[in-house]
Amino acid sequence: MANGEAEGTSAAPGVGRAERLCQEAITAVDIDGAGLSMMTSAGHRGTVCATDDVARRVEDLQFALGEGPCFDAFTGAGPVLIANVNASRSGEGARWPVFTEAVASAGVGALFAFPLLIGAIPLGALDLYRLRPEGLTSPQLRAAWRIADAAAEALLDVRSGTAMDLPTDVAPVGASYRLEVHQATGMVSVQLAVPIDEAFLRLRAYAYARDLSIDDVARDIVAERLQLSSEGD
Amino acid sequence: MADPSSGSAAQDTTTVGQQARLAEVFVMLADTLVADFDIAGLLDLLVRTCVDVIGATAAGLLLSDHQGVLRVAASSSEATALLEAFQLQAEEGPCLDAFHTHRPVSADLSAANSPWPTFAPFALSHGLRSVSALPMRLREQSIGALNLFHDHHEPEIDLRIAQALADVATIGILHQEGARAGDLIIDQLQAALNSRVLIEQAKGVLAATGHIDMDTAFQLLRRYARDHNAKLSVLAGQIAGGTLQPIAVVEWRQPAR
Repeated sequence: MANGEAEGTSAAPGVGRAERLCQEAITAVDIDGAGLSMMTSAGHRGTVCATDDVARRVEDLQFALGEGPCFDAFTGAGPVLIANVNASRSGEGARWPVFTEAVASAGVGALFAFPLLIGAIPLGALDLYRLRPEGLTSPQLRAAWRIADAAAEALLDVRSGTAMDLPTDVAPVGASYRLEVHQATGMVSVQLAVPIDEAFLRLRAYAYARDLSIDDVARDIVAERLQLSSEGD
Repeated sequence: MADPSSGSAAQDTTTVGQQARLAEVFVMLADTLVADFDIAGLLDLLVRTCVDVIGATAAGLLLSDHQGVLRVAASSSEATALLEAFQLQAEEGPCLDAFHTHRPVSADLSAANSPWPTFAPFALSHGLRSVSALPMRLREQSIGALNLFHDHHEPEIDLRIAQALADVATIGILHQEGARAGDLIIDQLQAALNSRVLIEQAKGVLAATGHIDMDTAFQLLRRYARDHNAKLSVLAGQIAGGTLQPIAVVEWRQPAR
C-alpha cells in the first residue's frame, strides 16, 4: 500500500490515496458513499473521486448547478449536515431547491458536507451520503473529521504532484501544523508574490524535497534564517 | 497560593482599579455575545485580560480538536504560544492536567518534585515561577483549558475571576457565528481553531510586508480591526486571501480627530 501500487492507473499522485479514504469513510462513518472534490483559490474546481454513481452525481450536480452543501460548507467554513434530505426541502435544503430535488430522486436520504481548508487556503470538500435519512452521532462525526483531514492532505498531494503516499492512519491533520507553519505561509506568499495556497504548496514542497519537517522549515522562515527562492523548489 | 474558594482573600487582592477594569471587560463581553460576533476576537480579549487586568505575566488558551487533541487557540504573546506548544509537544503541563482532570491546577514551577519534569524547567528558563490552569467545561466534557503564568511565587490572583473568563470562552464557542441549534460542539471547536490558523497566516503576510515581528503584526491586525469595527478573523481572511492589501494595515494610522 505504502509504495502506492494503486497509483498506477491514477492520473495524479494523491488520487489513489483519496480513493482509499473515500472507501474507508463508508465503514468508519457508516455511510453508503463518499465523494471528494477539489478547489483552488483561483476558482478551479472538479471531482477527484467518488465511491459510486450516486456519490459522483452528488459532486457533479453541485458543480453543474453551482449550488449545494459543499459550496455552503466553504462559505460558512463549517460542515453542512443534513440528516433528512426529504424533510429539508422546505427547511435548510430549500437553499438549493434544484440540487435537493435531484439528489433526493437519486435516493440520497442524508448528506454531510465537510469543507477542506487550512485557514484561508481552500482545498476542496468531502461529501458523504446515506440512503437512510439519519444524522451522524458524535463518534461518527469525529471519524468523518479525521477522514476529512486526511483527504485534505491527499488533495495537497494531488495539487503539488508529490507522491507522498502515506498510510492513512498516520495522516497529518491540517489543524495540527504548528502556528509557525501558518505564519511562514503568510510570509512566503509576500516574499514570492504568490497566493496563499501556492505559498503553502511551495513550503511543503521545499520540506519534502529536502526530507525536512515542515515545522523546521517554517521556523527557519519565521526567524528569517531562510527565504524560499522564486525558482519554484 | 490563591485559593479559588476563598472570598476574603479575593477582596484583598482585587484593587478598586482592577475591579473597574474587570467590570468594563465583562460589559464588553456581554455586548460581544449578543450579536453575531467573532470567536477569535473574544479569545484574544480573554487572554489579554488575564495579563492586563488580572495581572498574570502571560496567558494562553488551548482547545480540543475533533480527535480530542489540544491545540493553541489564543495566547497573550508569541513567547506564550511557544510555552503552550511546548506543553503539547512534551505531553505534560498544567493545561493538560486541568483539561484531563476537569479541575483547576495551581503549582510552583520550582517545587522539587514537580509533576512536569520536562515542562517546569522549560518554563523556569523563560522567567516564569508559577502557573495556574483552569478547565473549560461543558457539562461532563472538557473542551480546553486557560493557562495563567506568573513571574513570581504565590501569585495573589483571584482564580474565580480567571475561571469566570474561561467559562465565558466556553459560552462564546457555543454561541459563535454560524452555530445552529443541534450542532455538535466538535464543529464549533473546529471553527474556532481554523480562525486561529487564519490569524497566523495574516500575521505572516503583515510581518513580511512591514518587516516586523509577529507580536507587532498581531498588534497592527488588532488595531486595524478595532478602528474599522471589523471582525478579527474576517479581516485576517481578507489579508491572507489577498482581497485586502496588507500595506493598508501596516501603514494604518487613525486620523487625528
